[in-house]
Amino acid sequence: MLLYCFCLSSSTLIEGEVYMRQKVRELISVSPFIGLALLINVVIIVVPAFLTITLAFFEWDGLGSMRFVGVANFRSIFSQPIFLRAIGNNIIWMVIFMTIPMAIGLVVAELLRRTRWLFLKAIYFIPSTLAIVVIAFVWSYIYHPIRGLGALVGLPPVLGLPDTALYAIAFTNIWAWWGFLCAVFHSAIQGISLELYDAGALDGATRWQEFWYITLPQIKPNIVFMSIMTIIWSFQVFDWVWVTTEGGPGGATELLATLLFRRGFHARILGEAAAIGVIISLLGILAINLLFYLQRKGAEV
Amino acid sequence: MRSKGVQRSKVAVRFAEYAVLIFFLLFLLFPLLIAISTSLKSTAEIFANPLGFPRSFYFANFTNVFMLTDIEQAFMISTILTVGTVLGVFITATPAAYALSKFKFPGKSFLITYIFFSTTIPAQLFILPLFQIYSRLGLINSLPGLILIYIAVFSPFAILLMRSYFVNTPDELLEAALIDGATRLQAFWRIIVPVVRPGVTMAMVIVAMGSWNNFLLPRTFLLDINLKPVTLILPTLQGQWSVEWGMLFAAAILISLPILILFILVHRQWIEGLAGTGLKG
Repeated sequence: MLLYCFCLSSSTLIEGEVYMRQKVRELISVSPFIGLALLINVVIIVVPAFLTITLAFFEWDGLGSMRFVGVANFRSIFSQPIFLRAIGNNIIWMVIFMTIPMAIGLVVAELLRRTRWLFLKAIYFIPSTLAIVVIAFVWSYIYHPIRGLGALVGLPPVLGLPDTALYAIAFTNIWAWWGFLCAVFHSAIQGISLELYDAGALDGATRWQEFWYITLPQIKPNIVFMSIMTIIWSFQVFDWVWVTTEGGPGGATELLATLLFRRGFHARILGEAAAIGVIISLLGILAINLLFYLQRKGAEV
Repeated sequence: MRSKGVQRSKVAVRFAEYAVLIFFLLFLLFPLLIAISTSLKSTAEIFANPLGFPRSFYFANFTNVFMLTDIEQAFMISTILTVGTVLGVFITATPAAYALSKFKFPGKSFLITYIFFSTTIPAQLFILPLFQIYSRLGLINSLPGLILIYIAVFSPFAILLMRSYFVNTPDELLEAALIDGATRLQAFWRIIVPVVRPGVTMAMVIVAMGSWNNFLLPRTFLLDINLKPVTLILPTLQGQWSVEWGMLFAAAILISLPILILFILVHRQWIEGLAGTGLKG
């Protein structure tokens, strides 16, 4: 009995050791592949990101000494109307980009599949190759009340009005973005087996049914991936607003990222800026989890 | 009778499908055409005829950009940043993406999740302390310093994208190469990378676009007025030459050309690569 126990324990010990050695060997053999990428990532992103999280609980102007203030930075920004407005604007931005460009991208990708006008795919992608400063500049001319559409159709100065500025910027971003989604979705559609569509045609499927019952389910992974990316980017938007309105007029286009930039680099209230950075990240993580949760629920039904 | 009606409605649907595609084509081209036509107008004509077709081509806008501004230097700086970043991401992220799609090792799923989350980290979350670190190390206004940040920022997305291509390559590919006595890393560069070139190309083109077009990072880490990449020079010119719309549009077109040309060069391979190999994006 005792001997049996001994045998058992020693054999598991040996197995454990072999197992460990195996794991270490795997790690060593994989390190040339991922080591450098990981090192750069840790030095440039991970360590400063953790410093930011720490900084969110301190008061600091970037020069003097740091003072621990607990959650005071968070309490302070949540009490500021401009911060709540920025979060609201980010959520509006997310809703817009989860719906309009997604729908356009999917529908146009499906139409490209049917019409085979593949050259359009590349043309639709062109705005994705342009710098945001360039696009914002072109649209600032189009929106210009005297030069652009203002002269042609009497369009009001949409970038200057608090009620329309955010949507005017979002519109330019939609213009630049849907073609990218279309290219991604169309590439995914091209991977779908043609037999599925042939079978659908035999069953007398309409074009809409082909889209809804074959195309959409087949490229669902790509749609989910782009949805997640859209959510993440929605909370990080910076350039679009910064180069057109800098958050104005009167905070109408303020977003979390522009507020952070102002707090961190202009006002030099680094603790509050860091707290906003932490919140941007948390919102992104929250949104991803929500999406995964909904997807799991959807898969069960 | 009935089949004729069906036929006619089919033709109508077909027509509507093309109409939608053409509508979006026009929507897309409209601002680009305005940019091109304005860049070919003299200032006087822009005031008289802001949106119409230019009556005569005024190419002086383009020559003026080169004579009156520092755009050549901005081109140089952006080129250094972009080439450095693409090389860096190619060397570091490509093998990482492969390891994360094909190899078994402890902590792999954690790493994948981590990289996924690291794409969610906004630049603003790390630039505050990074700015402090860089200023203490004297790396503000350093192009290699900024390239390092670009590599770190663009790698996670490039890794995820390339991984989605690598997952579909057959496992035996690398095993076959190992029989010849090469190390795994050598075998990877020689055997795997050529096979998955479309995926790698697409990732690198996106990285090149990202670095050429980035605004926030140079805005933060290049403070010297003589170190402005193309994305920073345009707003500066807007401030200096606010009424010279023609010249500004010429500058905007010039700084867009390199990436546009790059895209035109690879777009066929890119589109066919995505379709032909059957690798799902």
